[in-house]
Amino acid sequence: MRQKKNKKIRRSKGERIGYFLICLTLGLFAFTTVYPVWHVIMYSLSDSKRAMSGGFFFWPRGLDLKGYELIFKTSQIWVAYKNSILVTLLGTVFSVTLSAITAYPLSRKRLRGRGFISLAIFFTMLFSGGMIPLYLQVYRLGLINTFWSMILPTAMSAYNMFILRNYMQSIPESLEESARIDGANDVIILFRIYLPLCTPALAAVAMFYGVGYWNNYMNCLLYTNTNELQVLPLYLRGVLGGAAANALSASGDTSSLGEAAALTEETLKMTVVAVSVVPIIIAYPYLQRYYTKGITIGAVKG
Amino acid sequence: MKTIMKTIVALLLVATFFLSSVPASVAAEETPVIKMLLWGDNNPPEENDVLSELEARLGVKLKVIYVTSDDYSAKLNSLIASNSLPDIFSVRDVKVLMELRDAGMLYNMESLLAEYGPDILAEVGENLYKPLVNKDGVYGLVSEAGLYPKSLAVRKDWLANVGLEMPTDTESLYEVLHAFTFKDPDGNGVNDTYGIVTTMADAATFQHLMSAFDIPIRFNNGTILLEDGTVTTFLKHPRFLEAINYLRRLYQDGVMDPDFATLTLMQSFEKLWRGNVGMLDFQCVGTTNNWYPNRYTFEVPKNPSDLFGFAYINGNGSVKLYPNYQTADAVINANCAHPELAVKLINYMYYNAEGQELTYMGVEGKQFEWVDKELGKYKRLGIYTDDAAHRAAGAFVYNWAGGFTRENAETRVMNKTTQDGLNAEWAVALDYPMIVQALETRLEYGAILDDIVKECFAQLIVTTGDVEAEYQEFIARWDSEGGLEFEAEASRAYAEENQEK
Repeated sequence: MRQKKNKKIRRSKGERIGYFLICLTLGLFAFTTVYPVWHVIMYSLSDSKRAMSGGFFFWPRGLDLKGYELIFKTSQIWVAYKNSILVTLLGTVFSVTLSAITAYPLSRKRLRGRGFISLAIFFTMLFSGGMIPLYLQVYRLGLINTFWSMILPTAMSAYNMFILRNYMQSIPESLEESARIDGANDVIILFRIYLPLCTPALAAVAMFYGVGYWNNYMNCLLYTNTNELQVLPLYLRGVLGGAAANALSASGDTSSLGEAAALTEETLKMTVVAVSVVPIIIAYPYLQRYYTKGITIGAVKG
Repeated sequence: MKTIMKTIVALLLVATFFLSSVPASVAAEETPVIKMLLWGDNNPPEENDVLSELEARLGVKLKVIYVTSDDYSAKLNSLIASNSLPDIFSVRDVKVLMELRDAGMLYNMESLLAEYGPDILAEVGENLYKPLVNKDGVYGLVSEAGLYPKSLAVRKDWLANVGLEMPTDTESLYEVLHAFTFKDPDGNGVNDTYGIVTTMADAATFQHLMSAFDIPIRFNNGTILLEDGTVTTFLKHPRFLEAINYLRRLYQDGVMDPDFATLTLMQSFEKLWRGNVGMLDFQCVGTTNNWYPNRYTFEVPKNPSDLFGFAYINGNGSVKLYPNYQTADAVINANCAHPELAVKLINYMYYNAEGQELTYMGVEGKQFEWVDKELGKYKRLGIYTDDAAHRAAGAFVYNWAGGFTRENAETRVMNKTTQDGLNAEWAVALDYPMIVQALETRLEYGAILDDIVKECFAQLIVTTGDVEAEYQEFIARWDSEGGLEFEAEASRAYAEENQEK
């Protein structure tokens, strides 16, 4: 009789115990990382009064969507969502393009003074003029109260540009040389050869910019004066502040306070966090591999 | 196919680019426009019923730049830097306010008040020149709204259940707290109650406990006036250790919630709402008005005075409240094209009863109607029973405090229990040495001194060591960290200001 080959690697008792302990430790770490987010979402779906008693939230306590109802009931949330999506999409495309066309010449050794230019850009990572000089610049360019005031002032990040530059430096120069022999100029080389090869770096940088634009409310706060241009983070800040104010305000006949009075500040806080973070949570798993790759690609020379 | 897709995406992006760049068309304004920068925690649409009604009544179009409370300073600073201040705004930083006045960026409205601000003059009277910014003119107006003294609310049903009366001195107070903690006042058979909840997050929750010993406690610049005229921290009150020993007794005997050092203010409210404590020292505007009945998780009677009574220990109330005379709630830009209309608008919205009603409750007949105006009872109409719809119509959002006057649209619609509670507290509130001028030592050492006060207060309640010795250490630390310099400056400033009277 042929003996069945045992393909499984036999572990010693010590190895099995070690493996178990590793899994247990990692499982605990995973739980402590994931649970706070889960807690926030479950709290936001719970009845305010029952949620006040505290403790762990594995499931909603008395499913109640009043917090979401309050946030989504006004039309302003949709204006804010629209503006946030537009700013994120347009801003990301614009910023990635700007970063790429800056990174490419700086990655070429034949550019005279590239060291000095790189240093000047790097300097801006360490020191900044501050809020007032930037505001004055935006003001004098006539961008106040316009859509582009939420994109242009922070259009390019030096850090992201350097990630792209370093990645482009790792691409063999022989590719460029052979393209030139074939008659390609710099623009064609950049868009037809280098950018397709830089897809991982571009995706990572796009993710950095995208998350930055999605969470940014400061540009909207400083440079716009109208609700029509309000972005989601700013809208949610208003909702959250209103919850705290509700706790103490005596706004009229208490019997007509509506849903707002039945909601505690905690519930509204959790709902606000859930509304602002859920789109990122949905998108992140698809882009995570680019994110972790992006952190390191700029640091390692190919 | 790939090329076609790329072309379509590119064209869509370009279209979005241009669409987002199209400026909003601006209609020619015939009605004069006044711009106001306002902080608040709402999101009102720019066109709404209240603003339309204001325009109809006053002939002024009001445009509001609305930002959250936390972002107000950043927004104001950027507008100052670009010299594009709105016509009306508030300034909460004393340094910025004085610099704006000295730079000539604030309008002196003194000459306009008689004609355009009659309600302002009638309400403010001789206090018009009290704000720090109003030397040699009237550059700013200070609101007196929202100054609600704290009330020690006591569960009357619990008192009845344990067979005790409303406490009037420290011993009867202790007896009540003890019964509330150990005698099952809610009758549920579970030992789940405390006598009182306090929190280091807000000195208000200790006010009546400390005022029983004649000490006006405040964690932020809490001062007292000694007999020799020295203005100093309340830690140096002659009866401070006596008060601390009383609090230690409450803490050690378990009649005070033991988590006082870490609880947030909201958590302390929740304990009252859930029926876990029998007393809370806070403004009754919350306890018997705004929170009543929806916040409470147990069944409550229709009339709040059937559930709560107010206690005054040794005849004292809470700490007296003064407006912040170092800031200004309404100033006018020196470059305002229509300063007289700006004064008219402020007068109507914040000082006139009819205007307060409009901006606080909305348009009568549309957002609300009176049920009994004398008693302050009204009801919201139709869709405006919902808070979100009510605020979207412009009500409340431009005037959430009810006005700038102490009696205003908000106080007029409070229930009787709350109004009586507030009036009673005003009569017995403990005074403290209020100083208007900005003290340099306060700016330099204030944060550190306040931290020492809080640390001392909490530590002395819980310590198992020598209370007297630890107290002396804290006093020595307070003195050496700038406290003595503060004392000297504050005493001089107080004597100066009160000599002028």
